[in-house]
Amino acid sequence: MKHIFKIVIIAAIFFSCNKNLLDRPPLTSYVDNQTGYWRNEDDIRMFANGFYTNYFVGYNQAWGTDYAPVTGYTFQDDITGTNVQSNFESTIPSSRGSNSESAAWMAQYAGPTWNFAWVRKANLFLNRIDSVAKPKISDDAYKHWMAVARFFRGFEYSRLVSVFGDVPYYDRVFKETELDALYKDRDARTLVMDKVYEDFQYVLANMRLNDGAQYLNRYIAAGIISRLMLFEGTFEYYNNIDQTRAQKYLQMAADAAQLVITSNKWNFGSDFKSLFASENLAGNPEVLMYRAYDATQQVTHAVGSYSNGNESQTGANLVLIKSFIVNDGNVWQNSMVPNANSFSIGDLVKTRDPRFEATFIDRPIGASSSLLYSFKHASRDVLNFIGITPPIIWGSNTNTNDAPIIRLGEVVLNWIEAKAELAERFGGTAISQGDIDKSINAIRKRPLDGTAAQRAFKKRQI
Amino acid sequence: MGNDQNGDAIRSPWSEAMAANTANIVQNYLNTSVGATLNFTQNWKFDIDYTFSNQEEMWKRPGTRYTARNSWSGPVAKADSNGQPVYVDSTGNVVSSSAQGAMRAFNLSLDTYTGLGSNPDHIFRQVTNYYSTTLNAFTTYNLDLNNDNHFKFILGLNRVAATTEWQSQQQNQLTDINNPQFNFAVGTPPIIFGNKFWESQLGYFGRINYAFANKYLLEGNLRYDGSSKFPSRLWWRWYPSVSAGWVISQEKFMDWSKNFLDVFKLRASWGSIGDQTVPNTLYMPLMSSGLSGWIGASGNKVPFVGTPPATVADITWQDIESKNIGVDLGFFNNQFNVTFDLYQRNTKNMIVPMEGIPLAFGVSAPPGNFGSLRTNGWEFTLDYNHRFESGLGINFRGNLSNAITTISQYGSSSLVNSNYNGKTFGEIWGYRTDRLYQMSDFDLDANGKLQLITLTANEVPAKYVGQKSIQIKTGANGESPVYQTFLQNSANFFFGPGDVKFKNLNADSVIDAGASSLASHGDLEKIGNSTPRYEYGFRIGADYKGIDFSLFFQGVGSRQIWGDGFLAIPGYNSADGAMPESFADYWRPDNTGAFYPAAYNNLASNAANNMQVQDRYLLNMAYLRLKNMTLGYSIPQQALKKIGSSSARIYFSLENFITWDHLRGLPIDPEYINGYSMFNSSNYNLGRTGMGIPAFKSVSVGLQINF
Repeated sequence: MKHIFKIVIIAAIFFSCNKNLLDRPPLTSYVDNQTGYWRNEDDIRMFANGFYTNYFVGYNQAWGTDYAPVTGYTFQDDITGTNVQSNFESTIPSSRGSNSESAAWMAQYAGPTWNFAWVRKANLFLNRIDSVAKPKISDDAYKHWMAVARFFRGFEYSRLVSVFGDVPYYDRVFKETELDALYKDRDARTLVMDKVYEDFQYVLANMRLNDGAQYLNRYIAAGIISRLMLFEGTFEYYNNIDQTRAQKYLQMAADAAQLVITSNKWNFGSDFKSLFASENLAGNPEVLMYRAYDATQQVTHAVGSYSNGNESQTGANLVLIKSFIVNDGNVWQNSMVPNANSFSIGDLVKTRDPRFEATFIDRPIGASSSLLYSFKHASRDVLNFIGITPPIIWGSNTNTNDAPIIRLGEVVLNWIEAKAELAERFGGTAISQGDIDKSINAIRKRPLDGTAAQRAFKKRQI
Repeated sequence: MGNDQNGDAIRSPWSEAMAANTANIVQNYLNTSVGATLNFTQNWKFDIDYTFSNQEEMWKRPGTRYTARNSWSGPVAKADSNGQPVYVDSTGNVVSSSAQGAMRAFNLSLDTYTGLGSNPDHIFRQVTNYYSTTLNAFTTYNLDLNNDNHFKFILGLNRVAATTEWQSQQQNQLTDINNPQFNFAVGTPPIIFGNKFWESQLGYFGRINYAFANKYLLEGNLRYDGSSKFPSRLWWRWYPSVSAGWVISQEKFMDWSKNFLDVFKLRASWGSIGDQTVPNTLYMPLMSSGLSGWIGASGNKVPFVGTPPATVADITWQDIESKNIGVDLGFFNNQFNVTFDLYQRNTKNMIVPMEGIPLAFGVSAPPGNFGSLRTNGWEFTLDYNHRFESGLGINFRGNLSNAITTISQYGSSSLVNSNYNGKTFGEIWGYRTDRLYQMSDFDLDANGKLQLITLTANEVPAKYVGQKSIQIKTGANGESPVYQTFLQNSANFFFGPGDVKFKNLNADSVIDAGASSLASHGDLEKIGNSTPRYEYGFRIGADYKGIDFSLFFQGVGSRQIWGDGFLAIPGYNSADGAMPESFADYWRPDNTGAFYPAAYNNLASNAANNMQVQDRYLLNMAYLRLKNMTLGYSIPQQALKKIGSSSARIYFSLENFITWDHLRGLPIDPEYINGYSMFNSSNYNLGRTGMGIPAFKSVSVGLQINF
């Protein structure tokens, strides 16, 4: 008995102060669980920000050109390189896959490789908003962020379908032990796109109309939805996959575009050159959303350099030249404009719609494989530096001109095309002159920039 | 060394080391320990000690911009003071332009080649604090039933809690490269990082020792260990171990050997312990965070939080199970002692990536306890001490050990360069080198020129048809030529005179790697192992009347590596400029017996064209080094009394003075590990062989005085 006191002391030392000793979660990382994240709307917004540079790529960043207009899309019929064109890919997806999150693609696909990282990210986002964040945020916020997540999921599946056709559809995150999901067969394109359609319906009904400048809102989403749905509707119609679905998708394309147009928030007050070559697109009346570049933030791109008149370029070919209308509004074969049938670059610049002049340098440039050099993504300033070192904003990967992500010009064209398809193929309302004036003609009536105006373009006849 | 004819340094690791400002790491240690032993009774005591430790590390890296004769850019034609071109002959003497064999002289251009603000044009300082508290407490009870039966019981705990916190700052673009200070760096913005980690372990243990008549020894242990690195329901694990010993020399039947054998003991043990040396985040879906490349309306980058990875929910401890048998022998009053141990260590539940996860999963396969490793090894030590009656004492102590680790389970891959099941850790697969091709191996055309032919199905298997090779002669006995087109990695490289001829191990019609798998590895074979084998060391010492002398040698019996970088691979990248002098023995029409093949620029590849991984150019890293030689003299006590000193010794010592190696004069330290330097434990200098800081040779003279 005399040792009891000693035993108690020893036991006390052994078992005290140890209760929470082993509970040491990471201190400097967010943890994806009930308490570690998804605490409020700010958390949700920060997660959503992780999608932006992959879906609103603009001119990409640093040396990257994936998804960047023209410079990235070199696998197409409108431009011709001097080398053998790369082969069309028919490799099985497993050798062309990835699970990393980067805005990387395969030029031959003009879209993603066999990569489901973004599908998982969107599904995880949806799950966490629904299962963790929902009680902590307002109903309006819940609907908005669910719409944001569903928009990105629909966007990703649209891209995957555009490349691969049938793909396995997942509407949830699954575990490494769920073999049925892991080794699931591809789902039919029509099934996948119906799911995308449902997502977009939710987006068009629930996303906020305004979530702050440069953040995704319903108008921006609608503009992009009109693009994706126009593609799918026409693809399914012309490949004779499913006429009913084609009509449904085209109708959504027209409706989504209509939402943007009838809002009257944007107009064609900007000249064409400024859309692609200006340092700041804030306040540009045609642009719904743009990607900003800023050297002091170390966010710069190289797309302007590929337009600077020095850097070699895969040049526009005759097919593309012929597709430009003449400035009287006719195709070149029907135009009465003098020299409309001349294909000298000097004449083309004078006779074609002014967008030609804003896109191409007015003389042959050897750096282009076809001698016709596009400087669409660089300002007129670069013309002073052909053959000599350009200033840093037009050289190397230090370009800072902003990139339009979605602009009214594209939305009205999606709209008029979808309406025309619906009218011609599915007995929809016929296109009126008013529709044409609101879209195709509105674009052609854009103001000219100072230089273009000085070049004394003829008053366009509409 | 490394200077051009103008006396300026040529761009090289040497020139950069010379021009660099000195980086340093200062470490401060503070340990505070409190301990006590309480004797409750004569047989029962309680020990406790508590340590608080605070380590602080300050790593300062003052950078610079390098200026040297730039061997990475094109040379500049040399002109004399009148602006006239300078001509030299083949030995470098200036000659007139019309002389036989005259050619323009060139200088390497003297450039400041470090770009403004690019590495290492910066000042960097990182401060790390490491705090830990350790508590060890145990209570011991001795029970002696009678003279022959002794028991000991121990019950205790170990508790460790540690926190590491660090932050670093770097500012680019120095305005004063001779005095790099934060105030003199103008790059914006400063680059700041920081982090904090914490972890803890708690373990309870119990032990029973039993000894019978000091002849039979038994011990049993049971541990209950917890680690903060796992999910809470997997914190705790039980780990048992047992050992037994038999002191044979104590047995009656060994009495005959008493006059020379003092100790003869056999030992055996089996035990299992937990290994938790893994990041404490494997089971947690952590979300990275940072600034996106998207600039928001405010004009600043927007913050983002990334996607959490997939994790295996039930990840747990890696188990290390070890078995050991050993023998201890002591002879002649323990003047001569030998021990030998044989052991096997199995790492079970090793944490490796899960297999069979398709891309549709959308994220990389999570790691889990799916692997296992096995190590077999032995250790041998021997020591001998003797003091002659004359007062001369001699001693010798040596050890030799070897261990081989095998991957017993990893996944299903059978590729020879992956972690296939059954792979010996460190093994190197490569080709066997036959010799260098000579002109006489090739079919020449009518003009005596080599002929580049397009291979057909008559010469090579279908997959190589259409590739080009230089035509090889049919052998003396009509053997068909064996082409090596598979190994031609550069568009304009074709195996010809002076290039490496590989052995056709699988006796087919080509040299290739097959499918690089265990079932089909073509002409590849295991040609070496990069793990040190037969590591040994020995010390020889003698003392006589205050004079002491000792030699300490250390060596490795077997280790091979396939090198990387310009010190190990001839023709690694000609733009790197300088290369080791040993490479001068390369094949030329006038040096057909050369060791190295004909010159070719492999454009920074360490396994291309002639320099495929192969046994001829595998670096033999076995060595023996005299690590230390010391001669000392202890001053006699009487002489010291006047100055009040109790002992004093003067000594002269040499470190790392002599090394015997097999590196054919390449400037590579055989102890060197790729990618390792004083400050980096991986990827230093892109892992190029021999580019770290080697072991220094040093001479020291010293005086030790104790008062």
